[in-house]
Amino acid sequence: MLYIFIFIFCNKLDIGEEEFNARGDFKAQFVELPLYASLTEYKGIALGTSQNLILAKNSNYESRILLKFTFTDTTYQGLDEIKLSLFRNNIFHKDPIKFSLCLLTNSFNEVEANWYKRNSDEFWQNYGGDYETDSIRFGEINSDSLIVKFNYIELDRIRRAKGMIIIPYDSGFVGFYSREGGTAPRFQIVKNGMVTPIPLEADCHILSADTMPYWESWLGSGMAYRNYVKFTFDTTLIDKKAIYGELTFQPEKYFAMRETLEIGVKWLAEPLKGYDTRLGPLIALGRFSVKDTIFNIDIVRYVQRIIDHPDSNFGLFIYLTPENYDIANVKIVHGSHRLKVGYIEPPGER
Amino acid sequence: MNLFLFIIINGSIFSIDGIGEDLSAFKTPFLGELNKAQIEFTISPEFDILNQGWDLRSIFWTNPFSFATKIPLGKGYTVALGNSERFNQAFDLYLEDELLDIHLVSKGGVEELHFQFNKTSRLTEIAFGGSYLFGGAQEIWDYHIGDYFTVDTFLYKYRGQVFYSGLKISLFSISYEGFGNLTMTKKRTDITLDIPERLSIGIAPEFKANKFNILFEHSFWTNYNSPYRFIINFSRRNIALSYLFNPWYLDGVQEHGLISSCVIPIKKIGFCILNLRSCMKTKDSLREFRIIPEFRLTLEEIFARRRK
Repeated sequence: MLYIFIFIFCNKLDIGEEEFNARGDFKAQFVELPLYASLTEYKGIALGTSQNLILAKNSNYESRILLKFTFTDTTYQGLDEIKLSLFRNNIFHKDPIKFSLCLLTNSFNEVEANWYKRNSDEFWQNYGGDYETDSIRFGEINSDSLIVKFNYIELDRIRRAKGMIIIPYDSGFVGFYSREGGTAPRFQIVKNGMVTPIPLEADCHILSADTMPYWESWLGSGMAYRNYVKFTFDTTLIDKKAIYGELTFQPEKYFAMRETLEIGVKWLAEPLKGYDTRLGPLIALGRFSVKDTIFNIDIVRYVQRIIDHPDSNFGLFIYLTPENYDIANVKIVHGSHRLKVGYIEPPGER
Repeated sequence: MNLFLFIIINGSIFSIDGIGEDLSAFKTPFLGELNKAQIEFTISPEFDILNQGWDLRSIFWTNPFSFATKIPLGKGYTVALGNSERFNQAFDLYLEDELLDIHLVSKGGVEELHFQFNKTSRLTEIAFGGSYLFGGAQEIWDYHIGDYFTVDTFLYKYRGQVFYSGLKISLFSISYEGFGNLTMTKKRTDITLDIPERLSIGIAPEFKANKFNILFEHSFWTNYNSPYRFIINFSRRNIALSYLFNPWYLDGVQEHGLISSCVIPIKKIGFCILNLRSCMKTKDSLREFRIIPEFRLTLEEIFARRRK
């Protein structure tokens, strides 16, 4: 009885499909839109809102961590321990890396600072941060956290400084959680077994990176590379209903701190004016292995938009998301972009 | 107790076209002689089976409650007020082409809020009334090609009215419905449709305890077919049986139905009617079977009695 019930009531047979004829002629059709342009726009974005603090160095990148704690008490005495802790985000590869910790001589604004500027108006006197030439500590990171202990004299110097900077001294990439990432860096003072946390005022990392040729196709985070692509609209799509818009492209090489990448797509709301061109909403998002040999994203919302408004075909930005999460890049085989559209005649209204 | 049965059958895949399934067929404005006010609640769960060749598929749903009240004013005057569904646009349909799959789910339709005024004397009954039409329908089109899918939604809103009148003399009755229109609001446009005019002629002979009721009806559509239909009803005491033939206004759709009915008096409260409706709609090789066990509870002046 149960089988009969399931057989009759739960199946999805196409009985009566000819009734659809009352509303239209439904057949899947396909077209591939030709690639019109592909290029790269980039920007050295501020990384103060990132969920991670990246300490990194190789031939293309260098990333330094800036920290500022607010010390309210000016008479710290009888302390048992003074320590700074940063916690590694284990989503990233665990490279060992040597570093030096120095004291800043100029303040910074965490949401505006980058390699060249300490806030929106003022440049660093030396690109990459203004700091005392004598480092307060050297060390190597090779465990799940970075813990640095200080003495009274160092505490006094730290209190009077404009902040701290952690500088990598050999190649490697390490990601720590930032305040936005959950497990924020801690500066703790221990006295008679009581732990007093010092409030974190600001944390960010600043990045120096190579710029990529405009005519190549790159995606990048940290240094944000956006791949601009535009496809020529096919007039056979006018008044059609797009079911999918399969955008594919092939990576040529990549650099990444983790095994996966998130790739997002937004359409341009106006003709291309560089990296800061006004954009529409996020229309597609996909997670891929960095080892994938082809990336495939459905951008049907974009296709339907240019069907409905052919004069709004300003192109797309393909980018790594979030652009400030880590340091990564993907070079795309130039001209490998394909946009295949599956569509139907739309149903008529009643 | 009037055992003449109204046909309120919901949700047909054929309602993909036109403005849906016309549920006003065989509705007449006659209330009969009433001494007590009545409040009526109806619920109709529905079992719907599609058949084509050896394939079977079905859905089940429960229609919402409908409500009606009839209030005698004395000297044969009665007013009635209630709601019901006028055109149903609820169905569930699949299409499988070589590469394309579509699942279409439609819900809603056109509701009506009716108000009528009747005058009954020994051999005659005269009725006037009108309905305010309202409601909306939603179609969800779910398209699949390969692993990709996208969804489209069509929304329709309805507003309108229709008027009717009827005259019953002894065994004979005639009723007419007309002057109706319906404004349909779509995504980009509004259109106004004429509600079909409907002329019904009935005869209700009695032989001792056996009652017969035969109703012929013609529906005048402007853009679709104008069908003739009939229903024959036989009742004896608390049991009734009906057969109906109802060709639709849409090309090729024909409906045959059987309705059995039983009235159960409930002491000091009123009565309930148990209807078992079954019908078969056909179009070419496609058949749609429907079974509706309907429960209708009628309360008779229960509140007035308690005041005493």
